[in-house]
Amino acid sequence: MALMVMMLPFVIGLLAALLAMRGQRFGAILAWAALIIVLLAWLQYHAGDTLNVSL
Amino acid sequence: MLIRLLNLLGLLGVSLVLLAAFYYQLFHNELPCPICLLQRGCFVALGIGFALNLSVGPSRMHDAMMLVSGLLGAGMALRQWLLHIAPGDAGYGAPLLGVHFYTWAVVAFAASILYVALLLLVEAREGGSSRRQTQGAGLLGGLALWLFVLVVGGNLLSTLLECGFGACAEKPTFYEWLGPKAA
Repeated sequence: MALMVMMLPFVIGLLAALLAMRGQRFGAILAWAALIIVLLAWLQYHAGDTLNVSL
Repeated sequence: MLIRLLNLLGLLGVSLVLLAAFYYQLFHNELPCPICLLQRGCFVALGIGFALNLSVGPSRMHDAMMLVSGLLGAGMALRQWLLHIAPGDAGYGAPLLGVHFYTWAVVAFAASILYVALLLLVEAREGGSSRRQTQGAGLLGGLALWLFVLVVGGNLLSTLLECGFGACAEKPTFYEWLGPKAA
């Protein structure tokens, strides 16, 4: 992945927190969903390699 | 009333976890790795559910958001735990009370899932979880919401200092924007 901005989840998180604090439910839920998608994408970037364990 | 108290305590708990991580980062120089930062992101996602329950009233949708956030965070923490389970691996970072932070994160996320289950039980008992409250978050709720926003903003700032506008080092030892001597 060429684009990797580690602070992006916190930008979206701050936006969602501010919207939630102001009572803007729909916007906060949308921002939360975007946050989850970015977290999953960033997890794939940082933890997509094979684990060195035998289960 | 009880639902409100539980949501207030939940949001304060999330803020406390993030503040504790901040304390070890700032005063013990425990710089978070990328997966550690992602787990903090999951705590933020968890807190948004509590914040919504406080500001617009309890809803099963908000509770579901918290469950998803808790499960995702637990999965990330377990993934990191498995990274260091190999023999001879000392783990990442200094342990707290003999346990590494990612293991504490597994415990915290599991506890949050149980907490939301309790919240759902109380909501069901008090009737109508989709009912909206007409009053705002109240003084204590407002303070807890502000604390949460400040903690999330602090995490944004520290991640910017640590990683800049790009990816973080796998094992960061200094803040990229401050240089090696500042850490």
